[in-house]
Amino acid sequence: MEMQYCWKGKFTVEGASKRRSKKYYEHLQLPDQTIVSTGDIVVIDNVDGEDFVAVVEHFYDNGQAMDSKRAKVQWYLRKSELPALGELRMPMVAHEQELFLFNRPKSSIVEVDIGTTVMCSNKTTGRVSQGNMDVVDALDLFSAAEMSSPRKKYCKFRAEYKTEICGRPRTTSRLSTSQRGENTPTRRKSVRISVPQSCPPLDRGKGQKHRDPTKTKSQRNRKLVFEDVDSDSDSLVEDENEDERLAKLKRLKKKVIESKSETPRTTSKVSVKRRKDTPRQAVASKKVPQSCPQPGASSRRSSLRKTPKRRINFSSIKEEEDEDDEDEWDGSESSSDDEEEESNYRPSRAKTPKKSVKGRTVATPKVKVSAKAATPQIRSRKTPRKTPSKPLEQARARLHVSAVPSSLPCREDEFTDIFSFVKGHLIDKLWGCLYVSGVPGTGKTATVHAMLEELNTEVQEGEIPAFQTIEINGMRLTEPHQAFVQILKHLTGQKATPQHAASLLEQYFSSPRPKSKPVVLIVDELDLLWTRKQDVLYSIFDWPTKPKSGLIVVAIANTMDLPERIMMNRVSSRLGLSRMTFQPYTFKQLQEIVEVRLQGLRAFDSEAIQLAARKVAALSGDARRALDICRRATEIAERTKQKGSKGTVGLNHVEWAVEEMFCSPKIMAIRNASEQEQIFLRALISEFRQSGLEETTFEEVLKQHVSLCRLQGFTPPSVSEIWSVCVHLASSNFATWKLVSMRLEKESCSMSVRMMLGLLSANQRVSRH
Amino acid sequence: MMLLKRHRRFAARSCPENAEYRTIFKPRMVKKKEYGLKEADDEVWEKVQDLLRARICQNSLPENMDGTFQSQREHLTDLIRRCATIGESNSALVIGPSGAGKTMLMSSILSELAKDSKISGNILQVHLNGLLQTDDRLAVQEITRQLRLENTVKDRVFGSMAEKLSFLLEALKKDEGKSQSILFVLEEFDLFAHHKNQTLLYNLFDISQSEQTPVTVIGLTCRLDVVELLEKRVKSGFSHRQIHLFHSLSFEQACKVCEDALTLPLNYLSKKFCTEWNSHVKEFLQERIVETSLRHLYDLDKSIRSVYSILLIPICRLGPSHPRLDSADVLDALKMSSCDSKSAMLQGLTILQLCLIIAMKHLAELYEGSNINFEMVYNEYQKFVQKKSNSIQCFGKPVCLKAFEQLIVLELVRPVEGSGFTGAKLTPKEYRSLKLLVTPLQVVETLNSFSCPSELKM
Repeated sequence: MEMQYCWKGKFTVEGASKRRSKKYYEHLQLPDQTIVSTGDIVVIDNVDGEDFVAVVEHFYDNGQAMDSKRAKVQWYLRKSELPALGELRMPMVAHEQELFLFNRPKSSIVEVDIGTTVMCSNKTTGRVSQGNMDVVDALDLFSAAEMSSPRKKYCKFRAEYKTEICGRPRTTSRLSTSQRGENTPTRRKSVRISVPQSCPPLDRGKGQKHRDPTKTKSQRNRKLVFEDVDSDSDSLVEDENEDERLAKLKRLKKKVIESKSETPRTTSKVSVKRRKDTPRQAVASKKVPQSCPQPGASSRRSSLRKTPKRRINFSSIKEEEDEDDEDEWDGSESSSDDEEEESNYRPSRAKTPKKSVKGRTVATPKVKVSAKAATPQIRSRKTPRKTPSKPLEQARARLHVSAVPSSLPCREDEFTDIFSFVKGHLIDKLWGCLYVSGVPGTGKTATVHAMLEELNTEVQEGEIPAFQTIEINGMRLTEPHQAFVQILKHLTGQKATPQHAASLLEQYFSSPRPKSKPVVLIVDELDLLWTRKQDVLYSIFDWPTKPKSGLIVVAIANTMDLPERIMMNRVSSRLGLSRMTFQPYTFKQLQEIVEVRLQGLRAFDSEAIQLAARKVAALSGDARRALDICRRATEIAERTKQKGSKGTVGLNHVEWAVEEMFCSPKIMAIRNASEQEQIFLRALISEFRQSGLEETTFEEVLKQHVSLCRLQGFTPPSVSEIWSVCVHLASSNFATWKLVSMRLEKESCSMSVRMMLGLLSANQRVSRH
Repeated sequence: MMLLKRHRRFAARSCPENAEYRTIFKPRMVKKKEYGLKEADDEVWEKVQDLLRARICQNSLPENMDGTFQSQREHLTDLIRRCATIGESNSALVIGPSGAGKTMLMSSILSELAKDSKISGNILQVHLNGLLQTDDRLAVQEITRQLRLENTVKDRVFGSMAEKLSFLLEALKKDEGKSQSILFVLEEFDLFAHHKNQTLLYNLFDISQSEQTPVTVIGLTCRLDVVELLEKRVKSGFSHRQIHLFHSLSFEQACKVCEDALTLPLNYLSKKFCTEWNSHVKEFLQERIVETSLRHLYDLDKSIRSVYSILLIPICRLGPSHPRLDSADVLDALKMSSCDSKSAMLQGLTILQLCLIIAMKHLAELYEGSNINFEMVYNEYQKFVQKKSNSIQCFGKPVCLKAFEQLIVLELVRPVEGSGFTGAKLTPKEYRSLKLLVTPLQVVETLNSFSCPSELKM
């Protein structure tokens, strides 16, 4: 029976030595005279009773005494063998007899040892689906199939496993766990399967099962030893590792290709022949094969069995970059793996039309999105913004703090001072620093920005040399030393660690740079750059003292005495004496600021503006407040607008707005507090009065509380309830307490206690009415 | 004033008279569609319970909240609307005691605005909570994630903190009038003020005050003095819009809210069932016990949540065998909620331990708050026992010490800080200074309410 399997047709020989040489055939004659050719669909039976569909890639004879007839087949899945996952993802409904490419990179193409047995063609299996699943699906499919499908059972038998990943780039450290399987140079296992063409299940010689759904007559045992190319299908864990490893490989490859730092791979022959006559072609043609350097590919096969597999180690994969696996990559990976196998087993490939890989590798992979490449952008609007049309709306838009007018009123002197300072230094090529201080909302930053704009127009007019502006803000840094990073980034576009950036900047500013422009560095919120060693402040003020630095520093901070208060002598001495203070705005100035913004609009009564300006000037002199009050007043005016009225903002509106912003909510809060909360506060006050101390314990207040309750005819609540009342009050910060000692503490607010007293009596009066 | 606006939380529903329906109802209906309170089966009660519980636990927004916080609602809606349409940046704080309805107001406004496609298509929402984003690193990460900026892949944000922050600021800086407006809702705003340097707040307010991507920053907090927590430059950036919410429901209104919460919509199940139920609810809330219980809770805490809390147990006990809300259940619930934890613990003590507590109470009254130690307590205890020599068993010192240690474990007595309990110099157990954490009031209350030997009750 065995003799009935014989080769048909011509063969090509490959391999020099006699032992290693292979003869490739195109046809195999089966015992029942059927001739199987490469590209035919065959059913391979399994001893377990499962049979599998495969397409013959090629036949060959390895020239050995035993089991010399071999075939290399590509597995296909039937619909019933698909895991549920794959089915779900299928783009269209599968035909019952449709076959699916088993697109697992490693083990989908296997070598089958025909030995003395058979391979049979089975043309009835139906049409083979092409490209029904995209590549990713097929891959996923496999990993699911690995767990569920009975294919694993093969491995219990006699399969020859060996690793074929020689020469693939590989990381050294991180993959250690996942490489467990491959680390052994060659592992061999064998699986014995009977390959039936026509064997009914009843007739099983030598205890091996075979069956054929189509041809029941022939009763032959066929043994196939299939040689799996990878070692990972025998355990689930390894399987997952494999997937992981693949993913990493992909990344690596991508990296290689992207960077092009590595030499391109030597061989990667795309077996077009195989695809030409198999249904794979459609799928395969979609793929973009990428491959990795394969040193010594020609002698690969021989080296495979002797040497440990990995040759090249790529180190340093960026962890961050591995998040997004592109789908294309899965595809390319799988196909390139196939190719490798191909080239392993058929290095000569006399019959196959070869395609140069170069043309294919050109296909660029999808560019990965990394943090660096990402453009910071908010999603765009669906409808464009409206522009305000009504006078009150226009007024509101102009009063917004962000709407800085072209010239800053009431800061002309300061503006000229700063402007002439910077301009003079730029023209004279003298480098130095200027310290600008002033309470918030006095226009420091706005003035400096206006100054820069003015300077830029002068540069365009050619009056002063061109310069570069760098702006950093202490509040926008996570940490003072990040200032160096930011400056360096603005200056040269480089990215560096803070320490490195500091040294680079030091070098930059101390060496002469005849060609580059001078730099104007604006440091906002300077006080936040303070560190214990003050190295950041020191460096910033030290650079301008260098003759070649070309640096002018304008430092902005809140406090006037910052140099004396927090800076060390050597820092404040470098800062120098050129300082400038922005005084808080007076009410006239505030009035002017608002009026300038409202020029040409009849939205405000002039008394209204004056009221707002006076209120703010008395409190803080913060221009932002004045603008905010006016803006709020426009809203109020809009809402309370009655027919027939002028529709401008009047005194009452501003008054309302001021009250809303500055009134203390405590009065309302106490008035709206619950009965027990009010009693508790009253108890608190009477306790403070009695003891004359600022601190008391909860127990004391409790006593007072209970007696107050009795006085007012309430049944006193339980201690837990009173405690919860106390906690509730504390959450609104009426009283603060130290839980540890159960101690209520009055926080330096005898004023608020007095206020509360007034309130409570007022409240009582209210309730009596 | 606007704050005094009345809160008509729920519009009154006019219920048709029961009697009508009762006459319509035919007891032998084949379809069995109509059933009363007594005929209802398990399934019906389950449905009713589900509905009521969802309302009581405030899982969803109240169905009808017309007129609630009308002026505040208008103010906030206006801000968000303008931010979305005109691109005006703003910042505001919503301040009110816990349970006043800040979050409810916010979410109801947002759900209302979401219906307007002009607004919902032009605004992105970022919700942060001070309890979750405990520092700026987490907050920046969360903002980036919620805005789905390009350095986010599958919920992971790339880069170091400095990179993330500068990336975010860079993203928000670009503005050619094309980017969507962003609404930041910061719950527990006061906790954000405790972040280092208040970097996040500074930057948010800074963006809101400069010509960048339009943002609206709304903080919700229950601290009245939250503005004082802000650093001066942060404070300067804040627009000082403070929107106050207070509990302003009167007791009658609160009762009305309860009634509305318990009332079933007429088309809910069977009509007869609902009408019967609704009239029952009315009667139930007018019961004296229920009213006083509600009053008690209302006096403690005006928030509707606290008033709701005692309705849960009566609702959970509903069933075919118990088809009515019971005032006894309300009393049970009230007892549970107003139970004093320390007194409850005292009830589980042994006689000896109680005697020790009483001795300590005497001492506390004697020395007015100064610390005590075991020797003093034991001494006092002996005196107390001798006074009632024939009725109470006198225990030895070691037994008393053991019992006393039990009290320390229960934290009814607490060692005073730095009194030799820890550290190098350990004072002997008997002389460590301690503090009684039970008030005399609680002791008396326990002794009176709990069946202990009459000898203990002085």
